[in-house]
Amino acid sequence: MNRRRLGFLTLFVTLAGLLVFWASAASGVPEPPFADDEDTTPTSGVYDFSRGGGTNLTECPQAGLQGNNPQPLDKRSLDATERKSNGGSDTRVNQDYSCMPQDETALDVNPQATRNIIGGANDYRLGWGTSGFYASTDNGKTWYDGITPFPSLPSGDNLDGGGDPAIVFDRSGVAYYAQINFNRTDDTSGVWVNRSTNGGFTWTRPCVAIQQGAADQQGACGGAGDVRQPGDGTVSFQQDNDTVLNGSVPSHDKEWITAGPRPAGVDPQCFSPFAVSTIALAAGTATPKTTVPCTPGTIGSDRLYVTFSLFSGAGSAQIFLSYSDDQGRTWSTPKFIAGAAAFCAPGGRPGNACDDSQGSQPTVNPNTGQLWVGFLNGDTEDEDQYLVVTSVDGGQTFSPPSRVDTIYDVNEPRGVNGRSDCTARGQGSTRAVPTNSCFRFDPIMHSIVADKRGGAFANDVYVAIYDNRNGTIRDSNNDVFFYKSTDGGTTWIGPTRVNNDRSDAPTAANANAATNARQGARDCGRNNGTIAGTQSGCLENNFGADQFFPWLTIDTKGNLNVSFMDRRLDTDSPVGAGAWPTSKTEVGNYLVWYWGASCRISSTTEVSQTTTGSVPAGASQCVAPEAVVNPTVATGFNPAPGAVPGQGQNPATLPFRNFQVSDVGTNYDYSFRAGIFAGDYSGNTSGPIVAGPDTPVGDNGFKAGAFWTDARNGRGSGAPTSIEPGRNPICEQSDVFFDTYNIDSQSNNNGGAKGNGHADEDFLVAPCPPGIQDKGAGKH
Amino acid sequence: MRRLALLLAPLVLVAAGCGGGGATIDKQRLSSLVLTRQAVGNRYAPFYSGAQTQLDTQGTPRADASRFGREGGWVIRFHRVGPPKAPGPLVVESRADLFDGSGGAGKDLALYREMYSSSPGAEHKAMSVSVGDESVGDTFVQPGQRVRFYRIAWRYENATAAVTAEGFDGKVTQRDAVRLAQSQQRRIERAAR
Repeated sequence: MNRRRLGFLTLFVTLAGLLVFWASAASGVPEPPFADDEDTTPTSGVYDFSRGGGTNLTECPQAGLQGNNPQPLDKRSLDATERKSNGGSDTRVNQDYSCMPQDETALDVNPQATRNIIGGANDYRLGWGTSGFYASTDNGKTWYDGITPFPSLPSGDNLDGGGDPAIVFDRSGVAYYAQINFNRTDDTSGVWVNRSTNGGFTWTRPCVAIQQGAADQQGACGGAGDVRQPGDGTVSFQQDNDTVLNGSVPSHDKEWITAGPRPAGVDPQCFSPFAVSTIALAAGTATPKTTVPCTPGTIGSDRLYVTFSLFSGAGSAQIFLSYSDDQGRTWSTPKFIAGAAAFCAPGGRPGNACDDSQGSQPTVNPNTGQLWVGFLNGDTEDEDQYLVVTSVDGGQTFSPPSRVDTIYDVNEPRGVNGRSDCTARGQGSTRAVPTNSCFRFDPIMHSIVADKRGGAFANDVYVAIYDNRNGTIRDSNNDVFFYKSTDGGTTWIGPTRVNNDRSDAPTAANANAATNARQGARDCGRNNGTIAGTQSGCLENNFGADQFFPWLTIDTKGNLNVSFMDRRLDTDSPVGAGAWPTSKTEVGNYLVWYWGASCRISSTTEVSQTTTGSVPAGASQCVAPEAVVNPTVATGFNPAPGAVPGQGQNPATLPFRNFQVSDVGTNYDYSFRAGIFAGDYSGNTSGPIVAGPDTPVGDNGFKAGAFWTDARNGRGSGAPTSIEPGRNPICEQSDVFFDTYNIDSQSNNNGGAKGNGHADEDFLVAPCPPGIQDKGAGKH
Repeated sequence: MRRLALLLAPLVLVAAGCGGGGATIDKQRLSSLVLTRQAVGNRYAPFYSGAQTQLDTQGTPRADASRFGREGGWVIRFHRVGPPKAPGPLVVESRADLFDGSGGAGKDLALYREMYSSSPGAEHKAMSVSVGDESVGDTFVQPGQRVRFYRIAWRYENATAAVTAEGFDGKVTQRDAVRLAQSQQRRIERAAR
């Protein structure tokens, strides 16, 4: 080799080495805080249509509308899907004709007038995500609707992005609508509460107080003539610091609201109107708000509690709580409530803080005022966990968290473990998606409710969750599970499978592929310690249908009411069917219905122990024979891939009666933007959350109500069989529906649903009719 | 001479990766850097088109929207009208990102290399492709129905671009993906003038 060639070779090797080093350094993206690499960005927020954000459609299917309101000049012929959709008892709640989606539902009933029901949902009728309200004063037969007013900011702007609706009435019949609002072009966000004193037809417009000089303790809203109390409805607010959407300040997500009596000895408080910096909140350095005299006449019948997730560098998401005694006008300094525990140690936070949390929900016993907050936590070695904290002093102090159980969600199908078909459709690669579909359904929002009775039931609290312990990354089979505590939230009994259809547990024999199998059984194909993996590590096997988005309420007689999305009735939709044939890989388990399940708890016994074991007879109502006390003790904090509680429960001895609620099974591929989003939760009510003087329930005549999203009015957006109008989101839309049912009936048909109990072809592929395309001005 | 070019190639790459070069494609042209319906053919319909959002890179090494002097990104997705088993991809994704210099674009392509070095599917293989100034590609199969994916990413001056083509195995080919990438590259070259 001559010197010249040697020189070139040396240069080549050196530069190649530099290149490798540089490429490696360039890829040094920080590790996500979730131990299992789950996504740590807020689940809500900007989830929009493409630029333009409109359908340009002038007509689209409108099944489910009832009443005699004015109607558009719609000359379409109803297609077969629309005719079938109109055949049952489901009532469409959103009254708009925008051809845009509504999803993610919450509702409550007025304890002073139980014919008055209010719902909330993400509502895209304006072309982007806002918070829709829906009010009925005739038991849900007809509805009025609109968009809640946007909060006003000190800048003079309005935050017009909204979502994550949560509704509650207080005992005096005042309604509250909690939501997040945010900017789409920067990081400004917050949590607000609108108030309605007329049954949900008119809502207050929240105001972020403007402080006029450091000494100003009063603040102002919009300026002279603005009648609002400064700060009204502002729970938490953060202005962006650089006008760029780059996560430079903490962001708010997934709030929830409840109401309940102030515990004995707790007096009403009112606070300074000025929002606290969330940067200081996350750092634990916030100066508490000063208390101020309450405006006369504003003290509410109940204390309102709002919890929310705050995403920041301090923890991927911390859970904060704020309360209000003056009907949401002023709010306490948000308080970090998730606490610390040994089971949060794998998160590596200072003091074992449970800082990696989301999906919080507060609930209050209406007799004692004791408060519980349940939430998902990811400070774990592998699978997530569901935790509960409680307060007996109105949210001033909280217990350390108790661990209800493991949430088996790491083995949900995702882009990073094989669902590349969904990332090609625009789904985030770490979002959980069900087999056959691409809508996200990460098990983040679960449900907790306190018993409404006092006495022996005063310490009883119940939880419903869903997860994929009975499925794999290749074949999801999410089930809904019920847990209860009879000692105030310290000891937990469960799991009890709520849905009573077939659900086979993955085993090494039926789940593990011969090659490339890692971890085994429900964890086949998974890479160690992450959500990544490969579906080729798992055998194709239909373990059962998916149930997800459960909501749990209870009436004053102890009737538990669980409602959820359910794919059990679709047993025959073929592989390769539907709008996205490469996604449809399993027979059945595709179309979605809404289902309910009920069970009555009429007696209770306190079970308080730190060990696991069988369930005492006195606490065994609504508990599966296979359930145990403290399942998390039975499995340890980091369960192995083998058998775990909740697998293999005998459907014949499950205690919850199941019934169909919605009339038709609909195709979520038609819900929103190539079928990637249908909300993150659904709702029901079993009477008011807070009992009032006029609260007929159960046998006295009150029926439970369910409120859910479905895509019966959605249609195909092009391939494979429909005509493509060439606009976005074309024919896709979901609407929100309501129906009532009797939860204390012993009938097996108390859902009242009629219609198709199979994968109806008309819903499997529902083409976008040419007649709905934009006809141009005047051509109707 | 050819050998010299090969030997100097890393030098060019390193120079690019070290931040050299200026922006020659203006960010005002961003939306014109991706495939159009005309380019993919009348059998295809767009089902999403817009500025890239968090979702488009979420969970990937390219998740930081402000990486390497990035000025913005665009994405468009198409699916095909007609029988699912006809030849050609069923879903096509085309995206482009612009940076304040070719150095940033080079670093972004390195992240594509990292992404394409593995896949959650089976039968993963690197693909030899030549598009733009430098490029990388791979293919893999999603099990079950044997859905084939081809991914090609490349850099051209201060832009990176990528095409993903998805369809049933045997119906979509590497040639389909390369043709789409080359078509997109021609659009980028026109925008650079």
